Amino acid sequence: MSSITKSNRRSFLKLGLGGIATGAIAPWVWTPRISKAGLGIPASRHNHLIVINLDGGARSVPMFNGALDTRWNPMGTQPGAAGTEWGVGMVFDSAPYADTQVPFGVAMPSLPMISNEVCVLGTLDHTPGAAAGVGDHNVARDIISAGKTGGGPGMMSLIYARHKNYTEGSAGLVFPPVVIGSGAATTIFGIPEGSITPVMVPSFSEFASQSGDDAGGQPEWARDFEAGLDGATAAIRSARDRQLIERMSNGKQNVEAFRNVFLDPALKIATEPNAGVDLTNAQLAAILGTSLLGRNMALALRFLQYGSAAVTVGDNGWDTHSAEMGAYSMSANTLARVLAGLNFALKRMNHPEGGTYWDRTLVILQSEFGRDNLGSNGYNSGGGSDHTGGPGSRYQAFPYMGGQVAQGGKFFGRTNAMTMEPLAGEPIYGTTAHMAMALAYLDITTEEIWPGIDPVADIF
Amino acid sequence: MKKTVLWSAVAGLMVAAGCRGDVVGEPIDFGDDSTGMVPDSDGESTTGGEMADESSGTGSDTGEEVTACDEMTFDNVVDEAACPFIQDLGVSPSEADSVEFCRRAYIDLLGESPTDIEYEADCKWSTKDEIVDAFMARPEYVLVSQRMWGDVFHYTSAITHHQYIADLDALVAQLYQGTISYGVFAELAATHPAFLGRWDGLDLVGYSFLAFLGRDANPAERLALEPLWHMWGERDMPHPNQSNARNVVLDTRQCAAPNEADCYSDYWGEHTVIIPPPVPGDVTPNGPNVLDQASLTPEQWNQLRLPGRLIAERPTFHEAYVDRALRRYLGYDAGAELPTVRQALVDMLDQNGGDIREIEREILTSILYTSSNQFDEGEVDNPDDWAPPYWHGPVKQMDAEDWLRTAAKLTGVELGSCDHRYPEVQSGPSGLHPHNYPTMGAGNAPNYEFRDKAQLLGGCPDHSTQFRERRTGLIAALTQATLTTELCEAADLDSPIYPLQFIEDPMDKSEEALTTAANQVYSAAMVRPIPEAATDALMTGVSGCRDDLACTPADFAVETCRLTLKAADFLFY
Repeated sequence: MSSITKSNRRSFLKLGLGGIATGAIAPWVWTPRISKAGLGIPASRHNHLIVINLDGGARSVPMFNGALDTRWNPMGTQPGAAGTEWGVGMVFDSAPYADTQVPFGVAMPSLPMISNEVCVLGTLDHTPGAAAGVGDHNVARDIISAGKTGGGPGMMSLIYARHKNYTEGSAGLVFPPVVIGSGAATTIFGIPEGSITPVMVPSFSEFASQSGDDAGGQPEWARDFEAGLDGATAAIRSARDRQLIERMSNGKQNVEAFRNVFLDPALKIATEPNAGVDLTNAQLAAILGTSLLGRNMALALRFLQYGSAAVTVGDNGWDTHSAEMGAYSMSANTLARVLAGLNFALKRMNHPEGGTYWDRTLVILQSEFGRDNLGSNGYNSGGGSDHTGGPGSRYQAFPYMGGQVAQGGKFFGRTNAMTMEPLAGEPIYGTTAHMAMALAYLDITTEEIWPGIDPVADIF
Repeated sequence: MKKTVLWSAVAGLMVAAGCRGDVVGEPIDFGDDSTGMVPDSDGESTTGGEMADESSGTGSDTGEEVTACDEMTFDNVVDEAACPFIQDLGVSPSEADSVEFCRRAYIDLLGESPTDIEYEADCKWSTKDEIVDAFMARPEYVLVSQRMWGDVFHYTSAITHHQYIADLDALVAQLYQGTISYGVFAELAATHPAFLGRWDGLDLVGYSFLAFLGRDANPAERLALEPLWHMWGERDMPHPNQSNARNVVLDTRQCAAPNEADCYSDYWGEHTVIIPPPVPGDVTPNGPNVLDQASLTPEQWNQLRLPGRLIAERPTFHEAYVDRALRRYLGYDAGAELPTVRQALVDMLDQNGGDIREIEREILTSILYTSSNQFDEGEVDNPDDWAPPYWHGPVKQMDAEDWLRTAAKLTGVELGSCDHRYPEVQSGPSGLHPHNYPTMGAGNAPNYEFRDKAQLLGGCPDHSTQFRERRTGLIAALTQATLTTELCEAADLDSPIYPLQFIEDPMDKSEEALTTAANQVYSAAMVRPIPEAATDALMTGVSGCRDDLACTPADFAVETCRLTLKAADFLFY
């Protein structure tokens, strides 16, 4: 068990998180509102969060709430594992993955085979109680990244500014939250909070190029020279412009602070197959696949091992207004492999606090909205789907997974098979409440961020 | 005159200013120890306008209070419209000096920072107005503007026919050369095959709004206006140089009887956009009722271009352009911050028949752009209390491509550039389609080295999964550290910033030698020596190197090259 001491805190802050030192420690005392719902969440600063953002507005219903009319799910359902309540989409391949047979002696189970370890909420709604849902990309992006209309600092920045490992320090490894992906609905998870900005990585391959062979090595005197030069520039600018420059300066300081991380060959996911702790990069490739999402998720797991509390990994290609049929199946199965792979990999990664990462990680999805404007065949006139804010795009169905998700296989928030409207008496979950749950799981009090929003706790 | 939607906000601001008694001679308190940029107490003329006479205070005839702006004459509508929020509030921005302004205009209009030689040739002996006029006459200005619209239209031949993209890009060039009006541009662009081939269905409405009205269409607007674009579609039509090419077609079957209502919209008045099927009753998917866009007659095009004409009639059409131009050159949302400025420019655009060059020039020669971005403001914790950005000149982060191009130019590394039209060049049986990338090997094979490096920092976007970003933070800093290592080590004797040319004696680690070398490296990039305010920083570096046995004068010069190219002074202009 790691301990937090004053000396730890000092040494941590010295390691380059100056932005946090000035930006995250509020100079006033705030008394949190006790949330009954929040009490049901197994919160811990040693937990981790993996967010997969399906960029563009994913049609989640045929995957995770499949037991509906053809209009909403033209592909049908499959039984899934014993004890599964949610409608497991037929779109998912059911066969196990043979790639893991050689390295692990077992074929990795497919998502349908482990569906009873996945809890699904079927009525995620950006605007519970409102007359209509959100069908606009920009409005939706504000909500999924910042948890509120009008936007604000992104979810990873909110975590970076408040998580105890960053504000108080930790005896263990600590690395900032990370956003991996370049999609317009993914990078917003890193919208800065003041001068605090998480690590933004476009992709695993670009990260390798960005690190180079030397990971930004620079003699100490050159760093001091540069910091002084930047300081002189900032000093003669307005407060607004100073913040911009300081954000850059913080980044430079952190390059040095985390240089040992960037020099680790394990972070060269595709080119160093034998590197890595607990699982080699070659093993991660066998587990997660070599799709862009799979490779990026492998890099995300490395950052978790270096002490990142949370990572967001984006997946593009979900805004399928036309020609959806082929593209959707590929996207859904890429996602399914990564979800199944996380289940497989996290159970094989030892957590520094004891147990495995599976015991201390929550995996969730985000997306701008679902899809609608559908005909009876399940598609619009162009063979795709739109997002107008009707029930089909409004009520998203998302899976939740992790060792502390006690309600595996359960389904909360059922919808009418014909209309997609929530059934009477079924709960409707706010997107912000779902995000609050994710932060609460990391032991971050969310009342200050989203006053009056009780974190969802049904999955635990 | 089209009034902007935020006109009422101006009144609110004016009332607020009046309530605070902010008149000439009463400087605004914007920080604990702020000392600069307060009004001239001696009535000296200020940037952005000239004092009409020496009087101030109260009007002699009416007894009404005379403001600073009443006393000034203006030859720039932006200056006049901004005056109540600057000079009337007692703020007198100082003018940017020649080097500061030259770098700003060079980067914004020509897409790179000047070398000292370029500064001498293009800026040193010219007024700001002359610099702006000269730069706006250069092809680089058109190219930088084309790049901006390439981002708006998401050009990529991975999806759209390369010839369509080239044609729309040429149309953008005409706009910035001043040969077509903005209204005509919008009319043509909203149904240009490069636009129609990029998006389908409701997205055609959404991206038209984003391009020309400054916001996305809401779901109701998308559904209500889609009929105006309803007949457009694409068909696979491999090109000898682009196997994935798809031609844009007009599918007249879509609105043939009894489906006429599918091409009818009553959202912006009652409009129907229908071209009757040439062969009534034929429903063959690729038959005679599906017309290639190239075969349409001028009369048919006139009808089909109705959506663009309707967009150009919207009250926010000119406002959206003005807002975009203000953001482009000032780096903040000046249209919202200064609604009077927006309105003045909208009026100008209304009156000049859609000449966007006049709008751009007005912004570029205004006090908002020509002022110095140095500003003395004490520590202010609450962002609500920060001084507004229009009280000083703009501070912007260099675009990744501009930064990389400049860094490569200074270090003499030949990286070329990316082609904003084609993030990934496509090919067909006859080879690759035309492009502007540097080539390598035999044939026309593009060299993507510049593109790949720029993408690491958010430039040269693929317009499909990546979009232009100005990145800061850890990974951006890491990337710059990596790239500057490569560039500064590759610099040779002919390069402007070649660090080793500044080392006279390879063994001389004297304070004077290192200081001279550092200043010369810095000057090569910034056109001036290290500022006095950074002398301590310089001496820290010099002392550090002298104390470090492993540091040679050559190492010092190379490290100075690296740190200069990623310094805040260089990156933020």
